[in-house]
Amino acid sequence: MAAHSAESAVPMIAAKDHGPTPLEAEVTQLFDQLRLPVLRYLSSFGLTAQDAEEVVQEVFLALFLHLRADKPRTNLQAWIFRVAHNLGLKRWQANRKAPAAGIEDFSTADSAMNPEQQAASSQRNQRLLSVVRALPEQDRRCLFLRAEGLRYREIVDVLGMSLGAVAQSLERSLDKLGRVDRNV
Amino acid sequence: MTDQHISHSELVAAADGELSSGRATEIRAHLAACWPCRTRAKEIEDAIAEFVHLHQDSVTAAAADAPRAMFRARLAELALQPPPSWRDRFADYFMQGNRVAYVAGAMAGTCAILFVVGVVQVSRQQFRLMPDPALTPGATLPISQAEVCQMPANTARVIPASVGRQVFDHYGIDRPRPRDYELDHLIAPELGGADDPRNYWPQPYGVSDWNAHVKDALEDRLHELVCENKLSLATAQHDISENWILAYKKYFQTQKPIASHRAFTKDAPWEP
Repeated sequence: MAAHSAESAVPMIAAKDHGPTPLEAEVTQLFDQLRLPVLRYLSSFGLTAQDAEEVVQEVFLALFLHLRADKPRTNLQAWIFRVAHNLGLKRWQANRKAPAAGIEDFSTADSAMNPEQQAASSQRNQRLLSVVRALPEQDRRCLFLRAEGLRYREIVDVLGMSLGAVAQSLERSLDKLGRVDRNV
Repeated sequence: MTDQHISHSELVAAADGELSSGRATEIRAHLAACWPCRTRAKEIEDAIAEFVHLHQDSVTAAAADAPRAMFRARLAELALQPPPSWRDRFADYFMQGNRVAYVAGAMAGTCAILFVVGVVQVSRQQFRLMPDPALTPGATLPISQAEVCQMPANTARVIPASVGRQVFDHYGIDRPRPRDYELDHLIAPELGGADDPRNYWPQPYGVSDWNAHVKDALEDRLHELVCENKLSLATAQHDISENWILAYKKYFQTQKPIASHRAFTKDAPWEP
């Protein structure tokens, strides 16, 4: 099994004579649910796929420590994205001197799209992609967070913007994306 | 009625469920009736849908197994570590990234404040070697050289306690220690100096070699020179009130107080 072989390849597994604790199980479940959304959000930072995966791991390990310390459980999704945002930003700043991968490089570097799918990627998608890449950083992050299901107030919590600024940012971005369709 | 079309921002907010229920109901009713607004709303939904497809395709679930296994291993390892003690948390708090800078900045700021306070204190002490010209410009009596010379060199006057307290107050000295100061006439009475608050200042004994004992010696020297007709009374009054230390250097021809003057006592130290 792929999962089994991947597990056995990890050298740092500590020997334990018991299964995961309820908290470990809970965090693992959240990891399973939110790894992809967080990973997609991190693509807005232009991180490489490897860096983004590493950040995701740090985020959920931080979540474990957060919950083990009996810290607030209210809106864990927003908490996870806020930590992902902060760690992603930190990683991006550390890598700033290195050429950024960008959303396009990120998506193709780790994408499971086969050559046929890639060939089928429409011109419209390319245009959308270029519009997304051209968005101001903050607008792009708003859009990505909204695409992951965060409500405006949760985006406020993650990005530290005002509610009005979040609304305006999304209006701008959707307007630009909508005009791509109209201009086809 | 469809006269008032819905703004783009409200259409976006409506699509995102961010409007009040009352307004959302109104907009739904408007969209049911208004084709142009419904078309615009659909364009927004289409743009969202297209972006979501693009966004979701950017990373797929196929590569999830290895990261998941890695995460479970790291989590198991982390779970074996005991929770940090309060001491670790304290150290961690202060050693995290920017906090190091904040703490260092705060310490540097505190040092800077202490330094400035120190400089001010030293400046104030230096300042007290000389009277504040605004508070103590000096004041004289309308008296002639001959009258001055009829006075004995040691013409000590008692300054009333209430006046003394005012002088200390004006100089910002809250609780002066007894015998640390001479409540001095800037222009000594034997040089025609007046009993006037403008001629009083608290001169310390201990902060420097240039202390009240040394100035007392200068006052005697000037009185002597005036009465020997070697110096006009006006010049003596001017020089001692302008800068008594320069006057001392000038009339004793020295750059430092003469050793015997450091213990010279003419006027009594202040005591409440």
